[in-house]
Amino acid sequence: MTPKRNETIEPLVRVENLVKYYSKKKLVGSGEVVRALDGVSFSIFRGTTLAIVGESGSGKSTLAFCLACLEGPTSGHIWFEETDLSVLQEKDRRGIRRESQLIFQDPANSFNPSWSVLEILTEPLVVQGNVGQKEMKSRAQVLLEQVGLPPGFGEKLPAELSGGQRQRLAIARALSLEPKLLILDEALSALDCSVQAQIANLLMDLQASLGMTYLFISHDLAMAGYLADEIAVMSRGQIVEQGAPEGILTRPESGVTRELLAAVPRLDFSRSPSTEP
Amino acid sequence: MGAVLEVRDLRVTYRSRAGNSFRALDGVSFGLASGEILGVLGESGSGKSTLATSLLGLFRANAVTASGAVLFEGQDLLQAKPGELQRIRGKRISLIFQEPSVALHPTMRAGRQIRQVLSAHGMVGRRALEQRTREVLETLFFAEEAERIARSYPHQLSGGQRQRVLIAQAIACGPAVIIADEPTASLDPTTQMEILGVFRALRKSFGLTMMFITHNPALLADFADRVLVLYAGRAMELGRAEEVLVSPKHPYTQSLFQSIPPFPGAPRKAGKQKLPAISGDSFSSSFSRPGCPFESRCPERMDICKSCEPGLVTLSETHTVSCFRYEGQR
Repeated sequence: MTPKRNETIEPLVRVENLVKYYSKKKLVGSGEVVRALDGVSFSIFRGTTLAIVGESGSGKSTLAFCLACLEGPTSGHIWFEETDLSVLQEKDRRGIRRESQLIFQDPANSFNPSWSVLEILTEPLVVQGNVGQKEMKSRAQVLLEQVGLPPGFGEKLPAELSGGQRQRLAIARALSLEPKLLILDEALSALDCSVQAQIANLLMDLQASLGMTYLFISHDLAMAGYLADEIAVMSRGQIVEQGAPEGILTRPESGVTRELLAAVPRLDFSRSPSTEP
Repeated sequence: MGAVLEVRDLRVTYRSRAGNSFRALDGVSFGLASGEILGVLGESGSGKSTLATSLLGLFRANAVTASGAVLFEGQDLLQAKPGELQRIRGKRISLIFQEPSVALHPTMRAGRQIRQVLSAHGMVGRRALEQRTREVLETLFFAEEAERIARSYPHQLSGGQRQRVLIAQAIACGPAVIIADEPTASLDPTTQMEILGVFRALRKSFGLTMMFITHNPALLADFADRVLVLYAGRAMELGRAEEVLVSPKHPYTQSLFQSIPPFPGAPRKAGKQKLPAISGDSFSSSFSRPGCPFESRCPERMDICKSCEPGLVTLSETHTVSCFRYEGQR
């Protein structure tokens, strides 16, 4: 894959043989080990989008948590620029967290319902930095504009926003610390089709204007193919296939990919009604 | 075509705490033929969930008015007494909700939750209840699996299995109509396909009549017989699935389908192309004002759209659309 923007060969993120095991606790006896990530390696280049697709339970979200420094891996390395996240101490993690931000499926659950849009937007600045009140407000206005929300929205409460507007707000909040990487964990899945298209376009705009790098985690192969420069297919904690969207979507090599493709609902009548058990 | 259920000019209005009234359904009419799957396509705020619940007289506390008629087995359900509705709900018309993990009781075994539905509708005798529960589960699971499912608690089941248990509850009493409100929205694509398969199989074996509500048009291809497109509480388009999904006529339906990324996708040219998204927000379309609710976002709006409400235009015997563009050209 060739990086399109910032013609550097150095990737922003390089994951090497990442392993994350969880132990399922039991009341009696030793717990069962769940291999959420089982030797995952990949790189994400600056200004590009890597999509991770797979069924529920394939390890996609664990990967997101490890990259966002919310979970420490069992073994392996995550290089974020020059820093190895896997060996960071908790006190050093905060610095890295501002560089990579997570956006979740349902933004309604990630806002304090009694805070105004302005308070939500400036909280990361309060937590992370020493930015003055006045500058905070002006930055919040810039952020609102960047994500296509009207300037008058500062005083509104999350409940007064539609689903699409809330996801725009989540993106604005994530951008407030000027991160280098946005991790989008099923960020479009809960939205209506027409709103998905709007937010997908916003993500592309931001990538073009700010040179953002995205890790797009989804089970929607059509959207992944649309947004991504590269797709990695995960199953049982491993990457089973990786490559350019055109190849993955039209000439899949792994059985897992073929199964995922077969399950994508399509707006046509080309497929004969499948036989039922 | 004998309609099992007929909805005539259904209007439901909610009142917000601030005192504003908001029309969730604004004159929706359609019939549900026996053995048919009607796909109801709508985005958030289109009134699709209000449609599902109001057919059974389940109104939110702030629903102030409901007018029109819901005719079922010679009775208008909007006029029915609570006791009468109680006998119909879950027995003659069943409702399946979106989130199986919320709709099931967390500390009760699956089998018991199905037996409860049966006994609530008058079935007595432990043996009869157990027998019917087993029968129903065996139509949805492999026979050797059914026994284990019946003894499981919801948390021990996968999302797809939980959804099947909900379907089992819904079909236990042999209803005439099933209303499913986004039954696959929380499932991953593979399981989603599986559940659609279950509905298809049920239709084949029991001649199930169904209203399937979704926000995802692609789910309706190869599944629904007819499709009703809702927007801001109004029926924008109604027709056979091939008509609506392959050659949509309403500008809303057309732009909605265009905003879905093509799949498997044409080879990408240099640089990323944007999706043809519909501008604006359906949120702002949902407040009562004169004219077509889609007017402010419509790529083909005309002067008349702002002031007058479009009526239903019949394009063919099976296809109707609510848009001024087609008036006078049938």
